[in-house]
Amino acid sequence: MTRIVVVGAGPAGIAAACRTAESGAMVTLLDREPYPGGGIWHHSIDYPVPRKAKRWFNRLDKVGVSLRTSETVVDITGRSVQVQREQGGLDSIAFDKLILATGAHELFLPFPGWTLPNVMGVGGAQALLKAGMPVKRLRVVVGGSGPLLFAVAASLAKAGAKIVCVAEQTSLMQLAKFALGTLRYQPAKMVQGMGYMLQYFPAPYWPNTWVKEARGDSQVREVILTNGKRQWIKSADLVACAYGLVPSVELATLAGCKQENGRLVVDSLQRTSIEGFFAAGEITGIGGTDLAITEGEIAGLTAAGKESGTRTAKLIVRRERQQKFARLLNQSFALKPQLKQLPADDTIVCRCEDITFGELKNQADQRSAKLYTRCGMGPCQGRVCSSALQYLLDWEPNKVRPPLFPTKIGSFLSK
Amino acid sequence: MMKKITVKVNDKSVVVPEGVTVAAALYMAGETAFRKSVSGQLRSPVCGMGICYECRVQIDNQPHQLACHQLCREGMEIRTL
Repeated sequence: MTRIVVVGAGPAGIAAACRTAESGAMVTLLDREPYPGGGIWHHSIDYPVPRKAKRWFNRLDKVGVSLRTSETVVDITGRSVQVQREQGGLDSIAFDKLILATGAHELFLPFPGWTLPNVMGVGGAQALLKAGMPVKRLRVVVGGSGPLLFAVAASLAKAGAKIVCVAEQTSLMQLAKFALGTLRYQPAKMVQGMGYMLQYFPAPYWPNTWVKEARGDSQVREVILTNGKRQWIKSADLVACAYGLVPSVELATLAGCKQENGRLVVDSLQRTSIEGFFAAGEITGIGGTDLAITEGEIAGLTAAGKESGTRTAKLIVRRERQQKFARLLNQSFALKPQLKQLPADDTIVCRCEDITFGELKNQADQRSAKLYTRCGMGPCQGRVCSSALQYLLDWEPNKVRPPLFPTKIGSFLSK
Repeated sequence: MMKKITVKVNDKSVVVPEGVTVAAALYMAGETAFRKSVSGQLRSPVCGMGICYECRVQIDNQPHQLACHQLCREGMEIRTL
């Protein structure tokens, strides 16, 4: 029996695992979080999961996949992954085929005050809210870029937060183009978006606006917003701010899969540059849940040897339409060059080692920054600062080394 | 009715619904600062998904545990900063 390992139990990973298992393969689905679902279908104690997510969760339950949550892939050698178990210790899992569905993380751009408690990401706020963070009566500024801002403002409002404003960096013109394109490719999403706006009504949605600074003491108290010409102050107890998503390619990089502009390169059947290695979802380029599911299904069918079936052909047609929407999304929310001016010299960029922008900006590249300042050497291993510096200073990311996540020494000893 | 469990946050007992993460329990207990940075600044969660490592706390005497990734268990002892 073909042994297939799927890394990441978000929409792409779940779809891939279902398709491969239904074709008779022995499938192991791994995820770092305590529950499957990834960022977008994050487990919640209070809210029901979306209908689409529920269908996939049910399907996953039925097909007999070995689902291993709270387990982190820390290394890959040849045809096996090394996994850190929650209770400690490493497991080596051998595979014939590997499906990478490691998703994405948010792009955080450093601005003065972004290290204050209660300044967090947009998806970050959503995940923490679903995990049980109370937000009742908190005044929240939502900022950054992308359609996620609507969705998260709506969830926060529904949970009792008072949305102060939603500050979207892209222009009104770009938003109008995005709205028209959405109507054309994904009309249902337009309805969803309007629904979100009603939920956080009457908070304003400001295009061409961004968070310039957060001020506070033991936590954020107020926010300075700007449109590049003038600035104004708003009181806030919580700031949710992020500038879209970055593919989480660390494991794929370590494996040696070919990439382009920070995304994994795949062919029409979701095959990477390495024989037997597939990729699906946000790591092949940011495109949203629906595209991730389709890619996951295609990757799963191909890994299971069902790539010549009519099902795969239909999915490929569907993927083309969804890719058009993804392109529209990425064009509409492209980041303004002014955002490169966000950090001041004394703004911390590397939050693990507390390295400021002033200490970094004159370094030649990411590698010398690491050697001379320790930037990126903390436990996040550059996941936060390296993405920011790539945007701010056009620095190429550093080489990836195992272990991919902090691992206990005891785990290696007891192996 | 959702089952409740009791955890200790900085020696104070806090009752939380079963299934919440340590990060959520800390917010419920009114904590906003989770750890102190290497230069002594107060910090709290940013990513909510286990990549930023800003939510590190001590859980049952184990340092550097990710509050956003761990679920609360009855009797768990959590320490911030």
